[in-house]
Amino acid sequence: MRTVSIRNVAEVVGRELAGRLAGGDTDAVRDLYREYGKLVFTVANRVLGDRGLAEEATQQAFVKLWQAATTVDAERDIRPLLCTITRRVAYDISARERRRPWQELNEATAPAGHEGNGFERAWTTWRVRDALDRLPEEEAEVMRLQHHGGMTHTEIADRLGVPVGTVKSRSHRAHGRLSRLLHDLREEVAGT
Amino acid sequence: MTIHDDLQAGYLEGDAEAEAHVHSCAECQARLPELDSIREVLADPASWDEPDAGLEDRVVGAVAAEAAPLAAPISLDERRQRRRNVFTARAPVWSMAAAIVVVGAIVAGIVAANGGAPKIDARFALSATALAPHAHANATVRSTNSGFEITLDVSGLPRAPAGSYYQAWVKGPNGLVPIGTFHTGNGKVVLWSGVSLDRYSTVTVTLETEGGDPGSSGQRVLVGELPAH
Repeated sequence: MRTVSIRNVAEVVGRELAGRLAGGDTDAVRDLYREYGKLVFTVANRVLGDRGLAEEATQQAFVKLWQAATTVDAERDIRPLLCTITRRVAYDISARERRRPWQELNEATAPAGHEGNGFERAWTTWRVRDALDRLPEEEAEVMRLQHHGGMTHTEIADRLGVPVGTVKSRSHRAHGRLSRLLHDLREEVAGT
Repeated sequence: MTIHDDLQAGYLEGDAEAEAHVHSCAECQARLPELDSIREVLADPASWDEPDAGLEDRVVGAVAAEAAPLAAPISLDERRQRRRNVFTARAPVWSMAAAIVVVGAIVAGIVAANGGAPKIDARFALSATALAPHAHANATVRSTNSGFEITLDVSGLPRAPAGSYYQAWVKGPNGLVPIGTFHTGNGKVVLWSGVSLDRYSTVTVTLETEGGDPGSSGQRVLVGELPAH
């Protein structure tokens, strides 16, 4: 029930922001960034593997979203559109950085490993990062140390100054919560 | 939480027992692609980076700079209604509208027929994109018996590289309609639209490759909004 509820809330927020953007509300941009800026950055960062370029892509993605504001459907969740724009901007920047002639820029020159199911990969990144940001802080910290830091439960326990058992239970709760939050990911990708 | 949920969480953790179960259980296998895609994201260091705290202001500033030349915000319904008006009303209506509506430098006004001079129905500007950051174009629209003549006065756009060309489009709820191709980067370019512009909101110019996909490449070098007045 919790997963469905969060998904519905996210869609309602996405539609509300789409409506404001389509109406030419310039204040909507800051709210869009606060809601999705980190997710846009993460999608771009996974494509580009460079923080500076990912920030450039993030900025461009929001500018392009604004440029497309008059064609935005105010009744539809804005997130898939923003995710698509982000992916395209990131691919364009990636191609530019590889110094390819610009007439060759298109989806076919997407970075290696990103050619197929491009939207699916980008959307999965978007949703996983969003789910991580919804975890309680102490669980998110364990996840970060484990996956990003490559630390064992014992090392995490030493770092945090808590018993290993506590780390294990936080880790399991966090992964369970993440799994439930993303339970309908495939279905959602198919529907977007 | 079922035993399967519990073991799927264990799979995300990298627990060996849970991995063995998920690979052998029909119910869990159905979710395996989803679980693997989640694990892939978790394993990528780029997934964990945080953007610079100043990025928010840079993004808002960049959008504000983009929005500055445009007219004051109006509702979507109002934009659509105004767009219908400009291309369907007759000259006397345009004259009256031009007398009372003050439009910005980019979203242009409506000019009534004036002696033997060409009748300009609307003016607007096309702005640069990241692909051609110095490009700019001023555009005029004339309604004729043959269709809509759109003349671009282009500057700052490099000549299209060999084997490629520029293509202009109008875009709206009915889709994307090509209105002409060219290769020069500067000077006057005359384009023709056979579709009524009241149903289209945007004019774009893209870079295309000869012999490539007939659809748009998406490589936009100029973007402009058809006037809503």
